[in-house]
Amino acid sequence: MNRKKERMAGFLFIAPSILLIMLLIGYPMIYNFIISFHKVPVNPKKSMQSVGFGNFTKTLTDSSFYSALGVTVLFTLLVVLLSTVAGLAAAILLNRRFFGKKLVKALILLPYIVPSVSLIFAWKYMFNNTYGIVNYLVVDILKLSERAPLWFDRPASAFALVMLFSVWKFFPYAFMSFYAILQTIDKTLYEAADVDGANGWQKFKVITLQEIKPVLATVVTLRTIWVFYMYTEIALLSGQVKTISVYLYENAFSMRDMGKAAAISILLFAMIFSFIMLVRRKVFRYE
Amino acid sequence: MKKMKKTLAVLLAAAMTFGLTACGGNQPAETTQPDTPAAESPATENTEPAPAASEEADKEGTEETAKNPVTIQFMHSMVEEERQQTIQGLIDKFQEENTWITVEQVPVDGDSAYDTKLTAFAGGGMPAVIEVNQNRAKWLVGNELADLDAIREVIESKTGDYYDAILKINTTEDGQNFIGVPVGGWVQGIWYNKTAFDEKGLAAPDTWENILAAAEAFHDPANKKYGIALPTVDGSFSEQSFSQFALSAGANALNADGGADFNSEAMVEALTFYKELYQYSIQGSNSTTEIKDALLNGSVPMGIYSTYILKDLINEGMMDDFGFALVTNKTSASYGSVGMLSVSDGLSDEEREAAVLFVEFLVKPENNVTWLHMAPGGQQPVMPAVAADPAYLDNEIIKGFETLSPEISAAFGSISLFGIVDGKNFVSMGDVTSSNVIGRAIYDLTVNDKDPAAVAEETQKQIEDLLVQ
Repeated sequence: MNRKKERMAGFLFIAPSILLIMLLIGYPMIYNFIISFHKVPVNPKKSMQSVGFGNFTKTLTDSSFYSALGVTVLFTLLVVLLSTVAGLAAAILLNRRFFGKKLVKALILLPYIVPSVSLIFAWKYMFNNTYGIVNYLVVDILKLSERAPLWFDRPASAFALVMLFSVWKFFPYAFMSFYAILQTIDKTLYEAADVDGANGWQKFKVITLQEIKPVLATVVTLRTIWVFYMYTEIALLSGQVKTISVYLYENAFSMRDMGKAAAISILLFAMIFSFIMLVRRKVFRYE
Repeated sequence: MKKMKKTLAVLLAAAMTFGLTACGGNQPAETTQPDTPAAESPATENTEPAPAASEEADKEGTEETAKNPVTIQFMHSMVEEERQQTIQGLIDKFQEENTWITVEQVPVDGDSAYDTKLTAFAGGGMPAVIEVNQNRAKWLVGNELADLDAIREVIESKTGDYYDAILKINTTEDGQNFIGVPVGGWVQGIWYNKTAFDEKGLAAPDTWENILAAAEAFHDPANKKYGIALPTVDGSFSEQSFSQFALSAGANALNADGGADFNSEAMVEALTFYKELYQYSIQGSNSTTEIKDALLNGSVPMGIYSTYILKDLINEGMMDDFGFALVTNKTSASYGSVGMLSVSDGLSDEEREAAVLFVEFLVKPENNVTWLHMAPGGQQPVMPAVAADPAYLDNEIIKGFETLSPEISAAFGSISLFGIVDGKNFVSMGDVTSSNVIGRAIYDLTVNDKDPAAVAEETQKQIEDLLVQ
């Protein structure tokens, strides 16, 4: 009886949140689903025309969709992997006492707390063709190139720089998460491993990795979702990294094809949701 | 129970993923195209409330007491706090004269953000009055989101007050209506360092030949000096810049029937010239920041920019060195953007009346001066009476470019835009511009070194597809 009451109380406690989520997210989700089957006029006084699966067909037969998807998958994979590894490495390195630790922590967190727009402009100035410091070093000091490379105009270098920027900007999130969990690991586990003669890698694999797995799963899940749909940083740094969010934005707001944009978002949602579920089931089975 | 928990968990996870998707989507890009001018310190003078209302207004005020209170929204791109304060000053003055009306400001930042917001509003609940440029005004008209009768009502009460060139841009395709109520405007052309040109004995960069000769003469990349700062960004700034070369050669993006006309011989000629000129330009994607920086730091002797550079030239003490020229070939062409006020369609009678009164109020000369002083030099008068108004001229920045006023006025007279053919102002051009096909074509032509004829054909096809949609 008590258990039943407890369960009821639990459901009552989360009911307002569920209601809010259903209202604020459920409704737009359903509406988005509906308009994905329609040609949507900008003027609300004009009625929507049903196009069946037309928007989905249009998306799935568009080669730009696949190239944007490919770029996004590669971008997400690299950014999530590198920012997670960098965050974990920084957390492990800082999980000890040393002089100036607070300063190092502050420097690590700096890119995460500074607004993206300021950082983007700083990067653009650094790589400016005429007065950027990077080109000054590459062309004038090191003489590696006769002309300033067009960093943000060539797809390969633009991709690399946007990726580097994203890793640098967002690895502090992983760092903070890992740093917090690392401090909760019982030190005696490492002492016992030392007694058993375990080396650094073995201690990391058997103790650290197992203890941080729940946080690792959360960091990877959240970062995957965020990076997959990242728009501002990519669009402001370079127009030449055509990820799926840029493709979606162009369809929705440049071409103003809301029906197709809705269809794209449904397809992406299905993809990312399946991927997250799969990863959490197969890779992060920690329960 | 376990199954229920599982279902609930999956549902919550799905909702969370979707929610995070929305978070991850972030805000749309903020660009610095001159359509939405970058922050400049506006003059805050003339923001005091107006003197006591006239007797007539008092009488009207008494009549107004019988009217139902109404609230309207005014969406504009003046996000800087000082500008918002100036607009609030105007609103307060308007509300004093029209006590039954409350006007709420809706400032929206950035070019793309503005389009995003406009699209979102179009889905339901447009602000009653919206500040737009001519491209957005065309888009509103094309989608039947603007109240053309209300706009005509305001314009007709002022016919004769506007420059002819402004009205040419402002008419609808059928010539019967207006796409918005002009409130200010800016022009774009070639800014050049007269002193540097004189030293080299070069003619002003007006004709294609003179521009090319000067670019060649100054180009010295080994010493980080370039012949010209040419817009090449994958965005509307490139379309604006290129349109001057195309239109001066007699090419247009649309033909007299409103169909695509981007692969004409004259267009290929203009594309070829633009590409040739790019050889002497700063390389890469050049947007407003790169062009302005290059002009001010002396890396280039000339560049294409709008009147928004005037304030910087004055502040840097460079105004006397600089001249302004129009691109000339078969004819002269300058790009111009007219800031307009649009009244939304579908308002209630009270809202519509309030919106019309508010727009009429904003284009009254004394209030228009306050509006223009928010970005002195950048926003130019669209009415001769305002241009000659001592109150308008009484501003340090405006006094600073007095010597260039004839050239700027001439530029207003030479405004030519893609989509205006034989006096017909095709609203479909708004869709072509917002799709950015021409901006991207210029980027491909220059930065990606594509063949002019191939770019012309590819863009022609894209415009044709857009027009079919």
